[in-house]
Amino acid sequence: MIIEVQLEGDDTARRYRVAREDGEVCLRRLDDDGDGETVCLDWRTPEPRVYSLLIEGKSYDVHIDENSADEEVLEVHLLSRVIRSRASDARKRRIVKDGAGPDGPVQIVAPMPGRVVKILTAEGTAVTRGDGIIVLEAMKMENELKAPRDGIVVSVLVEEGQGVEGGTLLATIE
Amino acid sequence: MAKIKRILVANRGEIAVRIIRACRDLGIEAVAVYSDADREALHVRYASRAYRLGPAPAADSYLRIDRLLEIAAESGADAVHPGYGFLAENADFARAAVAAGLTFIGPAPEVMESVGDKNRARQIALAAGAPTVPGSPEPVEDADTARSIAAELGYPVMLKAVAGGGGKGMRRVDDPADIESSLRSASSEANSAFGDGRVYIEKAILNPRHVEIQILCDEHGNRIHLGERECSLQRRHQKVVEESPSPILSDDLRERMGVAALAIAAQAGYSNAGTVEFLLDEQRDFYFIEVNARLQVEHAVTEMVTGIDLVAAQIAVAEGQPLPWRQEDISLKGAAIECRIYAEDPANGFSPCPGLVEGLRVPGGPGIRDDSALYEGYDVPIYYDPMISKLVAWGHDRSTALARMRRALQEYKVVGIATTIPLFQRIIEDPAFIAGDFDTGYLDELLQDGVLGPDHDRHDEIDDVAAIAAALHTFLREEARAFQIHNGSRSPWKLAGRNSGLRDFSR
Repeated sequence: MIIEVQLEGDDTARRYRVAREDGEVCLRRLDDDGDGETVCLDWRTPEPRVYSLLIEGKSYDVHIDENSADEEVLEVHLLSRVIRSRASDARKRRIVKDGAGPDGPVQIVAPMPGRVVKILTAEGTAVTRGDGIIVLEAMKMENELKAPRDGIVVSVLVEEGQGVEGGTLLATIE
Repeated sequence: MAKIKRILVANRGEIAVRIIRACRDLGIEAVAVYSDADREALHVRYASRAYRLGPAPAADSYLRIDRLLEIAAESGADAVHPGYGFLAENADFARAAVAAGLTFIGPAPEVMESVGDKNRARQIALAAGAPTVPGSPEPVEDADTARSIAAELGYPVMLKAVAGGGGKGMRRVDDPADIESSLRSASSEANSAFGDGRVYIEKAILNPRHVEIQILCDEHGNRIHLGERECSLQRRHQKVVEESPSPILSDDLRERMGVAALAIAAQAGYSNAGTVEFLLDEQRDFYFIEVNARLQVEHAVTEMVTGIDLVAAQIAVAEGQPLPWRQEDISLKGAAIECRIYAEDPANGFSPCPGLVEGLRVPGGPGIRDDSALYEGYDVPIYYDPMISKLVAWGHDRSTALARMRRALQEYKVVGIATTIPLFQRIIEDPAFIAGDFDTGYLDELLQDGVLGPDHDRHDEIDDVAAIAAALHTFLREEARAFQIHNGSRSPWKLAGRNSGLRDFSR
């Protein structure tokens, strides 16, 4: 599996080949900055969302929060620092980029209760992956819900200003 | 002198837990109250009795004086502790509790009322001979009066709401031309925030520090102070970090401020624990600002340096016991610092982040105290103050306390919700903070370039490990997903949840 990790503030993403080798998770950095060596990780998940990593004798206690609206957006907490990143399976990303993803309709669902602040695309608009569809305000924070793949916005089921429950279907892309 | 046997704790969250702990230490039964949002809260489970108040909104539960008194009667409580927030400084509640035959653990209702009114409190301070900020004795009605008072005081001046607090209805005016518009906007802001548009004028204290004195008074005229708390580190007029002693107070200044605080307490007829707040200007001259007629959030730093349990002391005073200490018995030992940890996302404009605490690891070890109501599996409700923990570190000197706090912040893991822990990690590394060189405006300035700062220095090793962890996390998620799809939706992995599934997977 090729995983791309874009750290906030970095110009380019890091690319890793990650695979199981004899049950261990082994990882090799593919981009120019890496030295191309394969490293097998000594890792445990002793607590929910917490990874204990031992790398070359050094111990790192890492906790990772996934964004509730977008699982690829990660907050990595490590040694008093919070590093924001986007990490994704490059293959999945390529499928979507090529427009060769699954053809069924994709539903945009409210990830949490909130209020629709803005509708960014009208019905019938063609969108590409990553385009903002709807801005949802929840707990005083605005979240832009994005198109998970290319397509046409075939329906928008809410209005600006409307309050919605978590799980409410907001729009459909085909 | 009636021994208190059962205390109704008219509060929730970490302060309710704090009070219940004192009750348990003293062999007193604690009666908890809860809203529908708090049935599973720790304070309910730590209390010996617990009663439902009403629906989740505070107005339907923790602010219902009638329900609290019903529950007091039903539970057989003989005293009530209001904590802080909610009804803690509501004289009507104190009066109603006393009328119902309860011992109110706090000052007398009429004293609470007089010190709670800014103008009356100022008169009390003046009568006690304590220095106050020069200003208008009465609220100002029109711009002309305001302008002439301001000219006498000298610019800059502050316009402040009579009913004010938290920076609302407050304006700094540097120029006579701005008086009229500032007066209008301060007054209308005060009116909408407090239902009282009256505004008065004070001379502005430039780059002030906020230093307050903890007082403890019994009902027999004995009064002592327990030193100061430095509370200058504030975000938008809200205290964020507090410590005792203040890094800038000399013994002589502490003595003078303590004497002034006790003179005000004597003048007001104050009993029980309270706090007298002062501003310090750049010449280290101090000015009275207000009395807080209750226990304060930051009381724990005083407890750490004096060794006195303030809640236990409050209960003893309410029972009518004389203070067991004289002023000369009190000394500040070492240094203590407190971080108010909130369920707020500092990276997102401090928006509140209630929700499920999926994982929790609380720091411990030498000198660390965590006053909190969190547990793993706790769902932080959206209805109340987002403060979830007060983390306190003590050391034999300030630098040891700071080192312990730095270590404790690193140990503290709250998984599932955002907290302000990263903010404190920034503050604790800040050179001006470490040097003790900050005023009440310092933190807001520091945060202008974002909570993590511009030189939240990129660190190659940390970046590398973070990226590896992110890659590992993503790999495991996708692997588990493929496994689930492959094995159909009835897979026990899916039922068992991702993490436990992964753990087995790794072996």
